Amino acid sequence: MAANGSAFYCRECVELLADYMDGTLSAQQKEQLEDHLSHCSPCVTFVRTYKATARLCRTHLAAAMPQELSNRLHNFLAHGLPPRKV
Amino acid sequence: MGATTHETGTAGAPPPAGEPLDRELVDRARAGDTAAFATLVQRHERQLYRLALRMTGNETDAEEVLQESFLNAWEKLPEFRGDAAFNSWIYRIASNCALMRLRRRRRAPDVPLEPERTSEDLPGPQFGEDGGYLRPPRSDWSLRADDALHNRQLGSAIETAVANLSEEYRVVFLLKDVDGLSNEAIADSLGLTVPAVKSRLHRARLALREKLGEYFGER
Repeated sequence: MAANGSAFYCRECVELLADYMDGTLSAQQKEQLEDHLSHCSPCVTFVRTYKATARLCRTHLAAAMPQELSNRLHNFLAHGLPPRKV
Repeated sequence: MGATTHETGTAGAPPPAGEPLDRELVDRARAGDTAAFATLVQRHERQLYRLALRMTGNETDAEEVLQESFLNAWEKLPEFRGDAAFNSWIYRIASNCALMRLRRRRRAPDVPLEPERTSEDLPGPQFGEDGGYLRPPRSDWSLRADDALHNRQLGSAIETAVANLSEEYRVVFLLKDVDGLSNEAIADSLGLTVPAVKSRLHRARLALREKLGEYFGER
């Protein structure tokens, strides 16, 4: 499903998404991509679900560190660091 | 685990006003000040824990990765160049420790051999000669995703999908999308070029998007 009347296709749109999210596309690429999105609903869906993927993963994987694990780490380092050779 | 937990932190965030910069703590730790080093550990342990846990898949290994990483950092601190960010440097050490541990685990005699995954195994959209989707995305599940955010099954689907990424893709994805490092910092941490980081990140996101699409019934 290519964009009507445009040389910019869905494949190009998907390839540019990481840079699009980073805001690092050139002005021309950004315009081409947004023009494509203005008339390609599958790509709009793709972009939304691509962004949602990063958002969902970030929320789910942001594990908090158990306090006792931190305590053990500091205890380990307090006794395990070799002295500096001067 | 019903433990008291630290707040999750943001990688690379500056210290609160009045607190010493990492660079100052590094200088003191390099001279043998263990209290300064303990402050650095306290500042970065949460982010490293997240990475180690998601790379190794279990808390015991994550704890050992943290111990090994900070011990290595202490020993290598005299070689640390002050012009690099301590944050990127310690991530590099922790990433290497986690990857080494995974490789050792794969070589252990009592662990069944798993085929090493390659980038060719990563799912993603496929396109025809006309540049359009072979199978266009059918449903916009992003609208339902936030409602399902606290759904345990979704959490489990995400964990499985991330765990199934090959290591070199997983580490980039975790550093960028979970810990919020810049592409440049990830490249520096992992010894990659920025284009390689971007490529791996994009492939990882595409693969995870496919898996989440399956979860939400896109296929």
